[in-house]
Amino acid sequence: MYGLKAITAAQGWTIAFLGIAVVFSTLAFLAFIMAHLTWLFDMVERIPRFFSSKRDKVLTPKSMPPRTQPHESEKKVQVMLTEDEKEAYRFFELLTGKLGEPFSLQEVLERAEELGLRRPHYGLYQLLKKGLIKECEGECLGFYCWSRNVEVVEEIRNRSKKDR
Amino acid sequence: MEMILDFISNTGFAMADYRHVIMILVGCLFIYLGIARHYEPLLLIPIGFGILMGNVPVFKGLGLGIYEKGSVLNYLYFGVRQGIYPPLIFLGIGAMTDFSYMLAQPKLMLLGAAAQLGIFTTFLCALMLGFAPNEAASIGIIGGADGPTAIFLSAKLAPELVGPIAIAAYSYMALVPVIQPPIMKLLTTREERLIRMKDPRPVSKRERIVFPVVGFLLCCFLAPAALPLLGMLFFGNLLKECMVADRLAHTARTAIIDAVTILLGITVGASTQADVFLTKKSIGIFFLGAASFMIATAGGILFAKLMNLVSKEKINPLLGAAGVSAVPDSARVVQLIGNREDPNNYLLMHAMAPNIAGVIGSAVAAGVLWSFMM
Repeated sequence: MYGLKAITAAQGWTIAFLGIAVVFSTLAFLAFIMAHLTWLFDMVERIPRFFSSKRDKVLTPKSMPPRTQPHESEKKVQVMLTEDEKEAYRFFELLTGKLGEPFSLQEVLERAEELGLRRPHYGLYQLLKKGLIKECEGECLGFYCWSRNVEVVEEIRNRSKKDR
Repeated sequence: MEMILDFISNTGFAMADYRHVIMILVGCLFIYLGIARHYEPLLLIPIGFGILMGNVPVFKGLGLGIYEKGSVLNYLYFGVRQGIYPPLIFLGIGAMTDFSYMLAQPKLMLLGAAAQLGIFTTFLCALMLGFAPNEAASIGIIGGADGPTAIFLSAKLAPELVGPIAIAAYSYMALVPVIQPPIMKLLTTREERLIRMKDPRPVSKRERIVFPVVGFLLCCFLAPAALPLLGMLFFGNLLKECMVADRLAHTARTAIIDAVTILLGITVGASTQADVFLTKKSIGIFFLGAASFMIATAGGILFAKLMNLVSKEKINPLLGAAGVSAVPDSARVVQLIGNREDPNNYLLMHAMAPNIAGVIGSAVAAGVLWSFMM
């Protein structure tokens, strides 16, 4: 048998149509999955982060150091920061404001890296070294918060005072 | 004197006819193309020599010919008849292939699917020309431009056509730099050939490890008959990417694939005995194989143009030609043609995406055709 009759007799049209459809749908589906794989990985990574942030929020009201105004008699320690450190200080202040106190250093670092802060480890280390960030005590041991009795002083202002 | 005459009458010179001479010339041509022109030498040299081995006239019944039971060549041919060699070659291909270009630009995988149009169009053409459905399916798969897949499917559906189909498939794969450029130029404008592609994003190790598992499960659940080919392809790739089975990956991409290529090439070549090979059907197969290859190339290019109509980010339509799975030759041809228009336009890594997708696509198409014909 020859010609279109041969195709019809062998169910050629159906086979060809279904064949193309299966090949296309397989590769299209595979392409779709692969295109969303990074998104899927992000989601998987966010699940533990989501739970840890929830845990932090639960801990906050009970164990966070009270955000009361320091007593007038409480002496504030003044620290001077370089331009880079000041930038890191502002960045981490905003970031931890969103995350809430007390915060996990690891989480803060990860978020800072994600947000593209330059040398986040160094910046955070400087803030810890200068006492701006300190480790919590009691139930929140292992988490960190901002020191209430440390004040950041503008370097330029100090210089001008000296000049005078 | 009588003994001498008997001896002379038993030599190949006395038994040979013009068909043997033709096939020996074809074998020599393959060896020449492989050595002098560097056209797929790893395939054409074993096949070419196999053609010589298969076409030395011998007495039937002595257990020498490839189709005679108990002969050495017949034992080696078992791997072709039962479809053992192609999956082993796919294992090696998987262990060699870097899928990251494809993972970085998943939409280019669709070009690999579009190029499989050649398979199904040729299947219909073969039916029209009077081939049986099993034979038509085996001929159509030549358009996939994938030798192991073509051998695998024809061994399952039309074992008597394995020789001509394999020779046609490998010949056209070797002739990619000759067949594809005119079609590419005909179907694209200069402006289209000048389109530059965005740099692909970096692909993480985790994605590369997850892909073979996800890809295998997805493809084989949709087209289970592709399991022997795709299973080995993705397994080989997992060995490569997981980094903890490097010895196995190394063996798969060197010793295994090399040994199997030698056996496959020699036996496929030897299966082209003049009396079996030089038939009207073989001429039909060669004609349809060429058509299949051209339609596949055109299908990929036209689909890329279609994607440009609906997509904001333009694709260089030349990439569509790489959808035929002659890895990496068709990708190289894309690079070559793109480079002629703009020497600073590097398309090779982008072309590898549809090229590798084409391997998966043609294996899926083979699986689909096999399941329909069972």
